[in-house]
Amino acid sequence: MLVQILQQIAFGLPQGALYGLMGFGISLIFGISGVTNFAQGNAGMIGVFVGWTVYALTGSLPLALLAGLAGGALLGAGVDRLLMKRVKGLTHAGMLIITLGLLMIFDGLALIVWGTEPLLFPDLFKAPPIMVTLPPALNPEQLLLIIPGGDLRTALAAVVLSFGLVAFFRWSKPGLAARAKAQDEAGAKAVGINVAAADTLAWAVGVASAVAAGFLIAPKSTVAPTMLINLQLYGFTAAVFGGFASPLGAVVGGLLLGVIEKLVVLGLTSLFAAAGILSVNAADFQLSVVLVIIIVTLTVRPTGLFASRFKGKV
Amino acid sequence: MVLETGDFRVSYGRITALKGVDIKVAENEAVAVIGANGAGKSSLMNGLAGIVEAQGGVLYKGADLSRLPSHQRVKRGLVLCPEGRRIFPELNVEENLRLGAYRRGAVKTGLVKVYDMFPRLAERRTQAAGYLSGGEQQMLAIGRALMAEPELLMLDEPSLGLAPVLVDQVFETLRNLRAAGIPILLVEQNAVKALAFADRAYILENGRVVMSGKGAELLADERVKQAYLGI
Ligand SMILES: Nc1ncnc2c1ncn2[C@@H]1O[C@H](COP(=O)(O)OP(=O)(O)OP(=O)(O)O)[C@@H](O)[C@H]1O
Ligand SMILES: [Mg+2]
Repeated sequence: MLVQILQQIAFGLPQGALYGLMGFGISLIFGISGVTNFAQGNAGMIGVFVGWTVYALTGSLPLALLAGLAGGALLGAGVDRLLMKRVKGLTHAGMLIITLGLLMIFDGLALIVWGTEPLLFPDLFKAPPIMVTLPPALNPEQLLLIIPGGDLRTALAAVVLSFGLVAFFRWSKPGLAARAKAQDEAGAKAVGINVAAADTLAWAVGVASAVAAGFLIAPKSTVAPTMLINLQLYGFTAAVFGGFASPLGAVVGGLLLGVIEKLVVLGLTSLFAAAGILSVNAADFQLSVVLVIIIVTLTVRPTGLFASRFKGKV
Repeated sequence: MVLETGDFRVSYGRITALKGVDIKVAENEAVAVIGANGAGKSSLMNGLAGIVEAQGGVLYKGADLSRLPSHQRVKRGLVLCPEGRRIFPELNVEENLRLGAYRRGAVKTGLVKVYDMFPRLAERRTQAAGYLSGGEQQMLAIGRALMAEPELLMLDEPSLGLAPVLVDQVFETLRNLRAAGIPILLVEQNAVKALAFADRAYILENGRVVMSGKGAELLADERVKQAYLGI
């Protein structure tokens, strides 16, 4: 059993790292600017398409990544400046409509410009899987443990990026200023923080982080208009899990979510096997697990794992 | 003149809180604004700081600031210590103070000065500001404003919620700042202390200045005594 559990963790962590990176952007934008961005995944998708296009034109991977991230940042900043600033003080319902509208606009834009044909983007962290055999004492059945080398390297990149960005918002001067704005807007104005710029920073970095998640998942998802729809759902779950307004909470929440999801499926598989149910595949319940986690978190601990101590702000 | 307003007005939707106010603050001067609850004192301060929208002129050191956003006003040394403290609760004491110097002011020397003034804050430098007592939070708000090395310091009820000893300490601090040549515009509930401290004062009623004069004169005025000093 130990090997199976380790195996699921080895498969779950890489996914969790991407959930966390996706959740980071959602939490950041909500925490600082107060907008729940349902278009996060599709905004990231547009950035990936920009990167793909630059790659197709120039053949330079660094240039492609840079263009994608910069494009995402510009898109985020643009949404904030041109749209969100004009509809300030919106209700949650109003925000839902606006960002859902954006989701569809980005989707349509991608369809028109790039079409539905799935496109390929190079795997940034390709590596062969590593097979490990644990000593017999721990592993009586002598099962192979497969360490997905490429996925783990991708995950490492996602984790380093996520924590790097969390650190930036925790300690850098612009990061501190943005968090101060979220905690007390009048106080922030009183010390001379440009509060509009703080929102724009959150949107730019938030959308760029979704582009990064998109680049990392592209080898698996291909580059297509729907490529980040699922990841966005996981990102939202990670964010809810972590406390929604806390980017650090979202990153940790994502990692936990990736592992929990796999372990639950493992548990269900053995449960079904023991009960002699052969007609259903436990892996089909993976998405349901996510929804259950959202519901359980919201009922048991609505403030999430990393609840803010004072009135729900980063 | 350091500050001069002309027909200064603030409204919130259909509510007009300030209906055309002209006040002045000269170099080295401490000016108090007193008035009942809802008279428009905070609207005046927030309007001057650019935190709420306002109409009318704001002449500061000869330049018209009325179109400038709040952060540009801070940059020029017009600094407000707002009503209700408005500190950053999740950030620790030192981060709050550092942000005080976000736009201007030297962090290192500022921290030394503020910790010297409020040793209590030095003891709690790594504690989340939200966990400070009300009085400590007020010290932090004042300290944070001083970090910007204000050239005109505006304070909105800085002694609110402070124990009498600390109120005295705040006024002592203000006296020192004025002695150091920093002009002060002060809003206070504690009218007796404010009038005793200020060179000049304005009395605000329903969004208008209804009386003004030397602090000591107003303190002796029968009408002021009855309406605001409760003597
Ligand atoms: N954000 C706001 N929206 C609507 N009305 C407001 C707002 N802020 C203040 N007011 C109204 O403007 C008027 C003046 O308020 P203001 O806060 O300036 O008074 P104040 O003199 O500072 O009072 P206090 O002594 O209680 O602090 C009040 O009638 C108040 O109800
Ligand atoms: Mg007030």
